[in-house]
Amino acid sequence: MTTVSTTDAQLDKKEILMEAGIDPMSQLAGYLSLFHSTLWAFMLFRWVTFGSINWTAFASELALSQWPAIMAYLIYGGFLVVDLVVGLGLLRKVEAARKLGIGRGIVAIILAVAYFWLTREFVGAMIVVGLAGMLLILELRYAAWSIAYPAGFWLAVFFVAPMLIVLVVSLGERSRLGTVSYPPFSLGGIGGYFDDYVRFFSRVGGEFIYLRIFWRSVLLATFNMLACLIIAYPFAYWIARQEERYRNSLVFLVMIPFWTNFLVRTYAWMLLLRDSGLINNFWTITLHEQAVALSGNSAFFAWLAQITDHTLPLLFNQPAVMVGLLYGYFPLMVLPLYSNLEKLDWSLLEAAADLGANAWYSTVRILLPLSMPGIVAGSIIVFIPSLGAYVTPDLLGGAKVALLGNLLQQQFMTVRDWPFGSAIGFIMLFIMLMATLLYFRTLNQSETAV
Amino acid sequence: MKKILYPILLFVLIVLLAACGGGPAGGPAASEPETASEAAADTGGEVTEETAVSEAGPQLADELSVYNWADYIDEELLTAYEEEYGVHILYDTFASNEDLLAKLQAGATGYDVIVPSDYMVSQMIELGLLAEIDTAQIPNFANIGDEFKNAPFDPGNKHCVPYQWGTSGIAYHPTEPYFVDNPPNSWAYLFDPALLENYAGDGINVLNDPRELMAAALVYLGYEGNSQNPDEIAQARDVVIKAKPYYKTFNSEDYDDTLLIAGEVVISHSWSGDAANAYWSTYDDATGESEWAYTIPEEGAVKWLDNICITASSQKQETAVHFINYLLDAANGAAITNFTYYASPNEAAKAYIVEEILNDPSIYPPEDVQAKLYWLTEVGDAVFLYDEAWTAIKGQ
Repeated sequence: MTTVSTTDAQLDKKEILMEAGIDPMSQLAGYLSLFHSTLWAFMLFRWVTFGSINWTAFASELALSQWPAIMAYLIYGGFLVVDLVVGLGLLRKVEAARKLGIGRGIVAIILAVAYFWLTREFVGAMIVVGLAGMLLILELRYAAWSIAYPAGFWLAVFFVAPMLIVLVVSLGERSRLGTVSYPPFSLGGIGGYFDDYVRFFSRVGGEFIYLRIFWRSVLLATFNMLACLIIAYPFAYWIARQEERYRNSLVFLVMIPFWTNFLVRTYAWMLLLRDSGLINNFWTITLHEQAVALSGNSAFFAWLAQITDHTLPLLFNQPAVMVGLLYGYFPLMVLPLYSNLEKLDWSLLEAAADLGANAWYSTVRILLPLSMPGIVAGSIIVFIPSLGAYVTPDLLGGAKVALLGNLLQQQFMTVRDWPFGSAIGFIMLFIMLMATLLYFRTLNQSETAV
Repeated sequence: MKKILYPILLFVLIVLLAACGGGPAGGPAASEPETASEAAADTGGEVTEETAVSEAGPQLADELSVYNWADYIDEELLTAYEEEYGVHILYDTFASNEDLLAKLQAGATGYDVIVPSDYMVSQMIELGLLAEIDTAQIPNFANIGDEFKNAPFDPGNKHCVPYQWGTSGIAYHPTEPYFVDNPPNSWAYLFDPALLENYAGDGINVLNDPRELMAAALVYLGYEGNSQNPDEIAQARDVVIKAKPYYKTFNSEDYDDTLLIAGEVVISHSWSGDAANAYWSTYDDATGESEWAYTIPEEGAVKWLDNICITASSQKQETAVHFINYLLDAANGAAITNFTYYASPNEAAKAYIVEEILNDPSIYPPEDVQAKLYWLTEVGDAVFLYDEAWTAIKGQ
């Protein structure tokens, strides 16, 4: 009987709650409105006390101070009162408050856009628009949208909008002073907008200078990806086959290099590889002296003394760039491979062995197909940044040979041809998009195969 | 809910009351001093001594942001200025004129004082990035030598005042076997493969700067360093491409420390001050000799002048002018040169510059060498040709 009574009690409680009609969306909107009003109150407080408290002015406040003084009070005070009313009304389930809130949200967005148009002050406008949008969606009771909204807003502001800006810039052309200008619009001359894309694929002075840089970057990135894969795969496999308590520490050790800035680590390589560096010091001093001392004894030491006479050309060449890239991106390959191999069902390999497959056969038929998602993920994570690498070729390669990253940096910083730089950026984006699509394709195939 | 409501309402009431009491005087503008015109009038009429300027007491801002080349000032001067005038200096550095312009063009505000070179000044003026300066407000402007006033890129010094000047020549190891009998006196030592192969194994560096390297190649071919002729630029490009396999590095940022002094190269395309840094860093007091020497090739070389300017977006022009006047002071100008080993356009500063710098022909070249120096000037649309040539060189 006792069990029945408790369930009854629970049911009662539930019914009471249902009657109370807790609408989490209205509630959230109400609290958000109240939070808003405290924000406005804080801004108003700052504004009023600028004379007595030494606040550091926000950009929005500097912008507002250009307007008539009454404007700030109208904006802050008005929103403060409206948000207070809306917040309290929503929490008390007043239907009119919801409508007022919707109106308030629309007005705020319009005002924020107008404010940005007039003052070009981005951060303030974005905060107002972002919060107003959240409120609107909550008040309109779009449940699914309200969950997706924060991520969607983030993507729109920090991904879609910048990409659109880059696209628009890439359609312009560089003026003599390095600013971006656009040809006058005409249907016949629409191709003129894309001449920076054409330029990338055309001959300059009889040679495809940009395509050559492009192919070199792709080759180097591919080589780096393969080298990372060949070294990282056995490494990740080894970690995954360790006892469970050691695995995390081993992965942790792989990540330790990330604690130091990449630039600093690249400089460390320079100290190691340069003519007066550690390796060459050992080669031309320690080894050389020993070899000279022993050179009377045997032909080998005479030969060694001869070759240790010169420093080894270790730095400022293509191999140094490859070593630098391999070193830099190796951990990025290990991590996805490990997380894939760790989840692998090893009994499948045992079963294969039981059924008579040899080591080679079971590796090729079982292990590789199962770890394909990890291989592809790691390859993409290594390939994409290798394609855009520019610090490594500059420092370890002596800035002699340009890669895509250097070309891009040169367009933006040295030549200030922003349209062409943006066009190169878009071409690279397209390639990376293709690589990512390939990844998902492979992923789907391997899943359907299993 | 009422428990929350009343404090909030009370707070709103207080704020509104305060707002009424304070009147429409709120906002950040109210706290800014508005004495610019007054103080400017004061300083304009003062005598040329620095103490007099500080007595006149222009309204100095709390902070001044200065954007300069790396290693291009004795930072003790900044500390001294901070202590004397209570202005906190936000000091930041850039690596090339193009970096500076790219940052300003991208809309960076907040920099007050910047130090662009000659050809960049004319571009920035055209782009409206520089504020006008009234040199009458800078008493120490009288210290500047006449040959540096009224430069072609900024007629009448309407926007900038000179900071430091120097040349772009060749730094080399006098003890390198090949140079003992053939001291490099021509750009051929950086561009002629027949010469290059004698010492390429020991390392050659050239400046990673399109205009500088192309100008050197153009002058080597007997053309003008600012050529706008497509044929000449293409020939210069081919010269560099043929010489490129012999180069160890393209470096114009830290080559004096990481390549010259470290002994990674034996010859380098070099700015005079960096060569002087290498010279004094490897100077042996016992023998009176250094591992490095600097020469201006006989075909001629680039001379350049860096300038102190105020950004158009600066809100602290008055403080900036005051700071510029401080830098142009004779003793301070000398302190900068004694630190950077670049020549000072400040005539009055010569009294304070150490002898070995004043007498160093690589820093203050003699008359006959000066005659062979030329400015880098704007090349108009040919800038695209230079860019393509540079990409072709780097793409090989």
